[in-house]
Amino acid sequence: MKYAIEVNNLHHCYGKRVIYQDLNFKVPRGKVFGLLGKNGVGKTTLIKILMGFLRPTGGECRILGDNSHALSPATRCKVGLLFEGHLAYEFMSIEGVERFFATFYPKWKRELYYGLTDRLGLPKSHKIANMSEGQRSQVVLGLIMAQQPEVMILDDYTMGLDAGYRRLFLDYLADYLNQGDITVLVTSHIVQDLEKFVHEVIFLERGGQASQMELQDFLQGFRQYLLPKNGSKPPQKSDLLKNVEETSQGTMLYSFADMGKVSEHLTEQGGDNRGLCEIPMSFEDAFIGFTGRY
Amino acid sequence: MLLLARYALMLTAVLVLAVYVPMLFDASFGERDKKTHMFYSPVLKKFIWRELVVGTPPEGEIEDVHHAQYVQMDQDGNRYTRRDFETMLPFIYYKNMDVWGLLPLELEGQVFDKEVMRDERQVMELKPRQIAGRSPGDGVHPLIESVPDRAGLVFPEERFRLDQAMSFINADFNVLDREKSIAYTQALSEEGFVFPGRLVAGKPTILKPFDEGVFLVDHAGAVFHVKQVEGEPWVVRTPIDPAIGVRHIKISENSRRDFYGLLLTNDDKIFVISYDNYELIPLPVDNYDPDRMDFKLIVNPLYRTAVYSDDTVIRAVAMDSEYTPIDSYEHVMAGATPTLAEQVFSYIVPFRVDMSDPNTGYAVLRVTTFGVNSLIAIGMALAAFVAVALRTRAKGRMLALDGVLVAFSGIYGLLAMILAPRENVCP
Amino acid sequence: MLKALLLKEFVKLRAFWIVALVFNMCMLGYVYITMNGLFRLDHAEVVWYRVIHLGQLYYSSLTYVPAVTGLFIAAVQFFPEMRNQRFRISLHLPIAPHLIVMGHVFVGFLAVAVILIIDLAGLGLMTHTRFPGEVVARALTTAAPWMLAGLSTYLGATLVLLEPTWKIRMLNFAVAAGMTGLFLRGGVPGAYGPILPILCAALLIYTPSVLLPAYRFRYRRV
Repeated sequence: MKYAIEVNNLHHCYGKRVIYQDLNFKVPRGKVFGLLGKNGVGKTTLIKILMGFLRPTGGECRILGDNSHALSPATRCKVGLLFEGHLAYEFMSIEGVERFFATFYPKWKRELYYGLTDRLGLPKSHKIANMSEGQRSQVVLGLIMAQQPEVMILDDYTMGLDAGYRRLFLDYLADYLNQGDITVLVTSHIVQDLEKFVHEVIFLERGGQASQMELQDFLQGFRQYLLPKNGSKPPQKSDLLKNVEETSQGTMLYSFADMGKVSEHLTEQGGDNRGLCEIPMSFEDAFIGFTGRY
Repeated sequence: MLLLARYALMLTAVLVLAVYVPMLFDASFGERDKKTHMFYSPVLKKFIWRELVVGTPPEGEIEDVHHAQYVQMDQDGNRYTRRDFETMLPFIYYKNMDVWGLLPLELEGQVFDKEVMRDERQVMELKPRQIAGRSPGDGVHPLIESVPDRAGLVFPEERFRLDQAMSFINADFNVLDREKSIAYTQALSEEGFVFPGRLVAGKPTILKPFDEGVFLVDHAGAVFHVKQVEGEPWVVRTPIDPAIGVRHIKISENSRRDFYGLLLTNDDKIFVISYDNYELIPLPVDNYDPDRMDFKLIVNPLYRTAVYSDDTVIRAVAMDSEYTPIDSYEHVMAGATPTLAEQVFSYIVPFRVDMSDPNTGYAVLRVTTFGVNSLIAIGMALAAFVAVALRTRAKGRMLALDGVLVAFSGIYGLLAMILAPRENVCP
Repeated sequence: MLKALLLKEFVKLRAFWIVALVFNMCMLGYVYITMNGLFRLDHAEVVWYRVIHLGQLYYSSLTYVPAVTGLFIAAVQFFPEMRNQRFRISLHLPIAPHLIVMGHVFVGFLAVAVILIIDLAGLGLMTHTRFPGEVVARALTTAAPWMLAGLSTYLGATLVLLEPTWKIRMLNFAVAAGMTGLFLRGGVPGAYGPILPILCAALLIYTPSVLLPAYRFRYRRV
């Protein structure tokens, strides 16, 4: 089994609104895969479909070779799932919830759980209901780690987390991934920190388009250019110009093409290319540049 | 598991529909008082009755009584107005007769005034639900003091149960009254009562003119008459043959002191228990089925009439005052004819489940089918099922099972399928 | 594993269970006061006459208590699971979904049943202090279908709460209400005696139906 996750010809719509149209991607085993996109493009819907909680209009998904709609208990045992909003059994205590989940997973490592939750500085009898979202995320992530899954699906793990917790979690995750052959699918609309460990990204866009690429290719190939205001006809989005954003300094152009090609393309569009210059950007800038601000 | 869950829900839905759909139907289309009231007219010397009009009535011959249409007629087909009908039954409607100034009345050479009519009439009913075992019993019974030291009867402080003894329980302390229990048990044993007892028959009320105590049936089938007289047991072993097989006794303390009450046997014979040494006088009622039929004995100074009916047929036997049969009549009640709504309904639903039955005090889950109409109802439901299946090109094991369900439950099964759509549940 | 699941539901429900128990105890207390009140206002033999021969139900205020209890337990058990669809956590556990659902239902059912058995025992004991055994037996037979109604509302509320679509939720509600109604049709005291076994069987057949909305929740097409 080469792929941990396979999505084949996936179609889904809510009424007339198309969420995905012929979505295809495969996550090889041992890879960390980022599913990125703005709010409302269907990241959580995709996770629901992958876990069999939602039946797609068409197409199929496979997790560790199992059809999403018939995930066997054995497969579910190998999948660590973080629900959006860090869903947890609020009525349980820190130690109670650990004892509960431990019985279901043969490879359970409680030290991984307590490694994360001990840092909360809360008594073990503390109820999850009385925690902040950040504290709760710590508990939920600790549970997933302790489960020792082969595939981790983390739906919007950053939600409600401050930078410190985020780092802490990623450090733990990095340690865990060092064991090798662990596949992660992480969705997020905040991309900070992700570049350190994501191998591949898939950008989901409104209307059902998706583009998949190696993170390195994206980081190296995706460029940001500034075209100062010069009174000429503003540039238009095209196959070459992925995105165009007006800012106070001028027009920001985003493209996988190099300076020469962009310059040439602007002329072809009948505009002016004077003053065009490339501006380096972070992963977050690139993500926003790629998906658009609005 | 999925099949189990789905059919569990669908079977439940079928049960719920089969109970409530007919209930709603009855509430919407049911008619009141479908039973015919039949009497023997001492004036006409004929049977005469009043019943609900079903279908289109003949012009001008019906009366609107409280918005329901009734007709009064006799066995020769003559129709009567309501007032004429009542004057044909002077002993029943003696109060109206009095108001109309028709009393005193001369009949068969005798003159009857209001007082005689009042004092000499008696009606005793025995409905299936009143028979021992057809309703939850009280379990314990009062033995009222028959010779109270005051006007009117008083409730005793004890109730008794009849099993291996006749045990009295005191209501104030909820404990056994040992002394009284021993006294009565002994008094019974001395008269030859074989414990445990089988039946207790009495009228547990003080709203009666006097008290006749209780009738007990012992293990051997013998009937005993027991009273409390000035605090002491009064026991008579009646001459009633134990081999007669007593099923039920209904007591009626009536000032006429003609009979103690009715006695029903296991082979559906019914008797009155005469005050004359407990002599059993048979009532000549053919085709009487106590489990299905309401029974009524109407007594007036001249005649006795036994009237008994199930849901369709009403029968009456007129007797003279010595219980010798004079005439009898049988009539199919107009109310038994299904109304148009009922007929249509029987083609729609294959059966109905009723939770109450007028013939028993117990709740029931009684399934009633409608014969050939049920089959037609199922046929139509199956046709609709097949048509939908063909149109949607459905197939598979679950479809076949759904078909089986519809074949048994008709439209109920069809409706239940809406609850559990086949296509939306498969993992 | 199943034990852990049952324990989890026990932990979740215990505080609410105590609330329900206290409510039931209060109602039993009220019935006890009502019953003793009868004896204060009238001679014992008159009370006996009314209760034994006229069928007065001094415990009629208990009629809907089990139904409310069943509804309450189902609501506190499954409302939180439906909020944010938290039930998905349990359904992701590596055991078969029917075991997960029936495990939940078993604990809730047991929670309701224990309270109802306590109700019956309380009614029986208090009746025993003032009335002969025949009346105790009849009171228990009269109240038994009310208790079954409690189990029925528990199952019915579960059926309605787990169902993900509104249309079918309404239909499930109709079936659940109708089913519960079968136990509350009244009649003379003790009337349900002979059909109690049949109604228990109907309830038993009804029970696995709560799996259906759970399956629909687990594998739904929206």
